[in-house]
Amino acid sequence: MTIRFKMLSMLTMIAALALVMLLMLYLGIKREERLIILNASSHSILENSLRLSGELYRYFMKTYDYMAVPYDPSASESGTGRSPIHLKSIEKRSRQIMGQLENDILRESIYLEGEEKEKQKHELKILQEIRTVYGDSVHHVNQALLLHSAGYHEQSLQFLSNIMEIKFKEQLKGMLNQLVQHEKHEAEDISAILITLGERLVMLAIATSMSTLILSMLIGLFMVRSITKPIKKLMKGTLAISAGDLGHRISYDGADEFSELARYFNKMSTILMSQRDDLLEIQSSLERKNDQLTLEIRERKQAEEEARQHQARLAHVLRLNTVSEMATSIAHEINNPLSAIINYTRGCERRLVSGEIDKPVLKDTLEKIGAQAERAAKIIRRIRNFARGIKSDRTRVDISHIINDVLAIADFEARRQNIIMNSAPSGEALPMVVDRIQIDQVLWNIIINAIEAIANSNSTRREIDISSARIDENYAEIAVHDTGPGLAEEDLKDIFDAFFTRKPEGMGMGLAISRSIVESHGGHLRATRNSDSGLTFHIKLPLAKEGMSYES
Amino acid sequence: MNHKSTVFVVDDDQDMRTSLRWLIESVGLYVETYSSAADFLSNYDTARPGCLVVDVRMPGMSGLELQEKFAAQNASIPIIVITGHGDVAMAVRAMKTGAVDFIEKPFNDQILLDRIQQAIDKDAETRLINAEYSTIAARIASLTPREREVMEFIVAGRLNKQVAADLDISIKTVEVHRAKIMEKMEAGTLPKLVEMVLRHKGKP
Repeated sequence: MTIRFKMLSMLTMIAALALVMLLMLYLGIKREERLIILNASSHSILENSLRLSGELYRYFMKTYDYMAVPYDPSASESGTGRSPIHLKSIEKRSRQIMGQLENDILRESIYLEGEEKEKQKHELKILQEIRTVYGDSVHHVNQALLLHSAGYHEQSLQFLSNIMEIKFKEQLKGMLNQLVQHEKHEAEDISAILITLGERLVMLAIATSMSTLILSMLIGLFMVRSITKPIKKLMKGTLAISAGDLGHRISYDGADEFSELARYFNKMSTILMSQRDDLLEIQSSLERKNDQLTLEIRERKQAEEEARQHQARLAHVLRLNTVSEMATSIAHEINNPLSAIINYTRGCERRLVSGEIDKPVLKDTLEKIGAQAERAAKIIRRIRNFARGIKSDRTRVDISHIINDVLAIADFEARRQNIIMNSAPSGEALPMVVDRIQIDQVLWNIIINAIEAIANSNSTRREIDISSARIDENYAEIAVHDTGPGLAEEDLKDIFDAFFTRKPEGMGMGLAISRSIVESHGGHLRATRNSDSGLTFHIKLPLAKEGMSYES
Repeated sequence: MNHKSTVFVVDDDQDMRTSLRWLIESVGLYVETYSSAADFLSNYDTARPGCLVVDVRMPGMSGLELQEKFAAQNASIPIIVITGHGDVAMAVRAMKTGAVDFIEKPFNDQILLDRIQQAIDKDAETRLINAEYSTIAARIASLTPREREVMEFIVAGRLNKQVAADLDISIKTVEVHRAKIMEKMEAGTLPKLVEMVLRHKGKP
């Protein structure tokens, strides 16, 4: 049931009530109307009675007149005198009135019933008497006429006047008085009735309006209740849900909007509950993930710590590796003066044995031996310079010094591999604050890689170009350009990954460590493919800020 | 053949060159030194006997490249490659391409001198064999096509009349050819002729 339907039914009820009240009112009025009609009828009886008495009087009078005037047939023929025919018409009319009276009484008796019938009896009795008087009167008039016609004019006249006296002055008058009295009573009754009717109407109006008011109030209350009750329920439900009780359901019956709303509400709370359950699920899974993440972060931190230690170990390995490669290179380089010394001494020995040596030649050769020993010592000194200062100290140094340091050592290896190294340092000073040993290692590593790349290739051009230049106001770059076979684009991105190597004996650590060293200096290490062949490595490092201490 | 065997030393390190000369000359060998492979090549006459002592690493052209170049040209001069420590892979490569020997520096002087002597001897032998080969080749070249054809049959062991039947010619004609072949090849006997032809074909 919809609310509209409820309201419609309420309105219909009100209308029906109003109709019932109207009907009651109508019926009440109808009753009063009947009483009034009855009264009107009584009044008519009275009127007719009066008329009848008037007619009777006239009848008497005419008859008297007729009898009083001596009979003159001529006069009667001429029509000027009154004739018995004329009397007849009066009689006839009287009879008519009489009939009317009887009809009135009859009619009134139809209306009357119960108690009222009793009340009217008196009236009827009076009428009866009137009729009797009338009948007696007509009879007496006819007797008088008969007397008159019999020639007893005087007697007839006397008789008639006596009758008239008796009938009118006593009987009829008394009866009429009674009637009037009765009418008067009735009128009083009517007025009382009318007053009652008016009072009743007022009462009815008041009662109707009161009851309508009360009814409307009741209906209003009911309607309000019927609306507020589900709203309260809904509110309670909403409060319950807002308080977190998503399991709360609103009971409903029927098919009105509230029931529908309640159904939707329940549906909503069901959805909310399932969503809350989902949320709780998500929350718990998030918590789990969070725990997992926390754990992972801890593990990662641990792993990072391990990686740092590992890198430190690797850096050490790289250093050892570097030292090992340097050692090889140094061995090659020192071999030359050593071999020369051996050759000179053995040559001298043989000549001394065979006795075919001059003193000046011997002296000259011994000098040469000394020079070769000096040369070897010089190489060792240079290496000591290179390896000096193992402590990790950042000092201010010009980029060209680093390049010169490394080239001095790497040159042996390059020559060994028949590779030409061209150095093109920047004309301007490019100071930076770096761990010189570490950056030396990075550059050394890259140059050795370049040398190996060329050595293991069939390149006709065997050159390495090392240049330095300022990039912007904050950075400078060392570029190492080789003419080796280079790398495929897809491999290029992997070369800085640990364990990426193309050398059978390589560990694939050099470039990975080099990059981390450069990045720890706030720089960047990358490799690009050359347009013709080979790779260029770019060591980008931040320039020293003004005011930093300088150490040559 | 009249040339004196020479030890050609190619090294970019001047001290090495000088000291090697000093050492090698101490045993009475003739030494020529060059500072680079290119320098050596522009001055070298393949007819000159001897051996080449070359450093494995040099700017421009390395010892190995020089040796590979000789191998490609079929030049026969023996090469001793001086390598540094840890250049085993290079030494193997050198051996594979036909270098006589390699020696790791710093080297024992006696070993180097022995190797040089061996190389010179080998070169002399090679040159002798090559000279003989050239002589035989020249003799074969002097034969007419028909004579060469007949010689193939004779070397294969066919008798004169079999050769005559094979070539559909008279035995007399075969005998004339045979006499001419023996004369031109300067082979006194049939076994000598067979030996020469086999040597020419590269067999022992």
